[in-house]
Amino acid sequence: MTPVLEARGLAKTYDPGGAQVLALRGVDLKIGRGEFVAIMGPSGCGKSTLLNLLAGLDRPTAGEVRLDGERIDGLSEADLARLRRRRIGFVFQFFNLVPALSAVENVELPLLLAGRRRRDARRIASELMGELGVGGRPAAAPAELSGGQQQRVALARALANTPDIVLGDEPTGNLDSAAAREVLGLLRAARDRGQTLLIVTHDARVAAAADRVIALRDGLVSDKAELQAPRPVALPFGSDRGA
Amino acid sequence: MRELFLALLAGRRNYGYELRQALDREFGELLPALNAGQIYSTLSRLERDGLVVGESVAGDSRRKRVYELTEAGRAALARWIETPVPGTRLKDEFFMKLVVVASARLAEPTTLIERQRREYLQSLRDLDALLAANGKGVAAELLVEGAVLHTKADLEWLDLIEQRLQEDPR
Amino acid sequence: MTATLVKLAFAGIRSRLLASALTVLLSSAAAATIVLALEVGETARDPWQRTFDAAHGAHVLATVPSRADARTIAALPGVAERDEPVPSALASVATGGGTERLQLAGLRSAARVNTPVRTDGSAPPTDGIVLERSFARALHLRVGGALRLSAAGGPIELPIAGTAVLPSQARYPRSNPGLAWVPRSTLARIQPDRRRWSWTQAIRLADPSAAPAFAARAVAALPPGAAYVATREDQRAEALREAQPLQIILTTYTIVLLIVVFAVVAILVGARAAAQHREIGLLKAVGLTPRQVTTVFAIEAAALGLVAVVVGFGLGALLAPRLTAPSADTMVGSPASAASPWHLLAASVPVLLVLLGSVRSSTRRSTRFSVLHALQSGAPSHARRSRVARAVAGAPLPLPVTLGLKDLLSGRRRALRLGGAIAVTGAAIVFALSMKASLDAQAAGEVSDVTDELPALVYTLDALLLVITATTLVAIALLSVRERIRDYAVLKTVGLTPGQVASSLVGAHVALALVAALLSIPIGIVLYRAVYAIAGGDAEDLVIAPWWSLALVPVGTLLLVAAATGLPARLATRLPAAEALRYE
Repeated sequence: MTPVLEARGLAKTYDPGGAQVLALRGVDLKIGRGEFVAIMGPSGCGKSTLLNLLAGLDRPTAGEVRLDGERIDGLSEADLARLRRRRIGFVFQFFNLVPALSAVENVELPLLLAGRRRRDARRIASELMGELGVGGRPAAAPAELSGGQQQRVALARALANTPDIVLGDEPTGNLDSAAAREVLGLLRAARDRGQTLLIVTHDARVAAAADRVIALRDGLVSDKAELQAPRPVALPFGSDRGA
Repeated sequence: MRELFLALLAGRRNYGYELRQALDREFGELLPALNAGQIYSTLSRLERDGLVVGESVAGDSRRKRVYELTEAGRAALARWIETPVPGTRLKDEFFMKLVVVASARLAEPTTLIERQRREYLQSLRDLDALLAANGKGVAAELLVEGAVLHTKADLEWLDLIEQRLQEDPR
Repeated sequence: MTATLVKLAFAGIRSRLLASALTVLLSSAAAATIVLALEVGETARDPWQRTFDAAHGAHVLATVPSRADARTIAALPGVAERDEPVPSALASVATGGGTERLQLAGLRSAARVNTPVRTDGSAPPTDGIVLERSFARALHLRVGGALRLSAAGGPIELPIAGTAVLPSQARYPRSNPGLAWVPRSTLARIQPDRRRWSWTQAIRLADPSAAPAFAARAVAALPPGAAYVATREDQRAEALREAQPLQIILTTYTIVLLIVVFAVVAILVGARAAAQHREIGLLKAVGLTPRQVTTVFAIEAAALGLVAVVVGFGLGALLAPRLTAPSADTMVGSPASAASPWHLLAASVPVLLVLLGSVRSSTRRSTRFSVLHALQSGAPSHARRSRVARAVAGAPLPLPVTLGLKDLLSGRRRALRLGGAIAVTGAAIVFALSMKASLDAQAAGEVSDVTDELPALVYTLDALLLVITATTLVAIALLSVRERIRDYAVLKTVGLTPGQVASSLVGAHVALALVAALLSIPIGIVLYRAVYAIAGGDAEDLVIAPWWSLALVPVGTLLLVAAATGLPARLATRLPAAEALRYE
């Protein structure tokens, strides 16, 4: 089966002030439809660069990005934007809601961009926010919401057009553990609906929720781990080792 | 385990199976099946050391015993309560395995580390699944959260070990 | 502490060179107009005094119906020196387009008091005719040419023998009829009816300061309405009144410029305060009071303001004599810079007040936020959304424009100030268009009493305003792009194409500017009417620019704003989204 998202020999070099920085050095990656993949690694390992390249927000120095088997790294900015509109939802560490727009306006933005009529967009956005538990204050400005609420609004925005791919860049990085767990639960629910999830994180707990964990180190994939269904856990009271 | 039993006996006299029930209440399904033998061997060792005293209840065909703290038992319990649990953990099974296996060149250290990382990630997944399942007590939930945090620390430790190995492959 | 505040202020100036340069440019323009307004009234003072001295000018000049009346006045006590009374009569001059009236003075011998000062050719009295210089220049008459006068007995042609100036004669055509000197015999030929002559008695007093009292006695000595008496001060005031329309226009533009300065500086300071939100939070955490933070911005603005005032003063003092050059037509020598230190002071006070006021108005809000909030967020929280923003949400505009407008209007004060600056600039343009229309409405060949320098001045000031407003637009658009790097990146991830991102920025600014431009038309018309009325214009002659030229204002605004925001918009689309997203 063709992977939904694929990277082949993906490389990216930054050139800030003359000194070349190799952010990615040939990454190969295949993500199947409906998979939940986490990318882990220390900061500066290139994980955000990889995510941005896969989303077409940045252009690779070398290599290919394929969506449903077709190359997208050569598309124009405008075509990439139109592609993201329909197929890719984005969630960030810092929520990145548009501050000039209210919560519900943020959510309906991708709907309007996709050509929905205003009334439909507002209805879908409200329903979605209700499902994610932030339907209570649709007209609130993002700054008036707590971090957890903002991230749920951001998630609603990412899911508004029911994109088949949801990308997350440290989506729980700025949340307390309770809010983080809720957001993680919502991401899992998206996966259960058949959406493909690719999450960059340095939170092992988020990574552990994925089906597959890819470790990135110095711009290279250093390890791939398939995780199994949860095993039963027991407390170590079996023997009296403490005695 | 011994001190746990002392604490459970502090309030009142208890049958062995009552201790078992008390532990069940606090830790729920996290508690593995403790067999009666383990409970009674612990209790008889406590009795041997003079910390508890057991008394057979007449008229019970299964020769049940009721246990009670002695003075020495109370003192031991008080000492245990006053003393914090030791903080320094300089004992890690994986690390000892890594050092020994690597120095004997029985396997590549990175392979060991990767394998262990998967194990820890899987553990996190197991623990999270446990948390997601309902019907646990607060104590059990906190215990699992603690295990999650320790596992995350273990993962970071693996990163550190890996980093050091890269900088300075022995 | 003070040293630290000053240091912070100068660091601010250095870090925002564009904004600082814009502030200086604007403020110096405002200072220059103030200095100009004050100086133009002064520049001709010296040349006039020189003319008065050269002409042995009259302390009192009385125009009366008969020689006997002149004698009566000359006999009043206090007279130190008197001349023979000079008769004069009105004549008509045929010019290219029609006829002009001309006052002919008939001299029998050279005048001893209020003597015409020769500037070209022969001095009066001489054969032929000697013209007052501003009259000659206005009608393009030259020495050696001829002048046709219509007289009772038919047209008479006289050779132009020379030109002269007189301190009592203000510039033609504001002082109309013009003045010329002929021999007495010529006067008698042109106007034989001596009853239609009037007589001018020039008198010098023993005590020049007694002129007003003497004038009052002279008027009282004759039947009411018979005598017209002008003292030396009256003559000078009349001569210097040449600068009055200039002063009114300059005052108008001073106000216009100060409004724009206020708006623009408030925007720039506000933007800086917003950009340095976190830094301000840190300063406050360290222990600076809001007042001290405001002081930093105030020092910065004052330093820029002082530079601007000095530059503006230099410009004003330098330009003033050029603007008043025409009034020298009636004087000996040319206008000179007065460069009065009082004018420097007068210019610095309003400019600095406006600068500091705008700093206060824009920092008041931005320095009052909680320290914690500033440190945590790094960006100021947006004000609650206005009713206008909500109205925009319902308007049937393209999505990018709606987005851009919501964004623009979320900074309500900034949008208001930007709109204000555009409206005021537009109003100034409407003013200029109306002035041009009324100049064009005058019949060709008709001599205008508006000096050529006046429209030139208005056009220059308008050009300056346009440059300033356009620069401000670019600066503001750049600022908002810089402030919104992350927002644009987010919009890209949501699926806005680069074209949509650019059109959200350009479209929003164009929409705001269009509203402001439409408002500027009535404002400009009201402004023009007011200035026209103050300048003493005839309400019947009032001409407002035609609709098609007024339509240029919104159309021009549209093009200008699109051009000014185009560059920042391109910048916005080129920003690498990937990096911006990680900023917080």
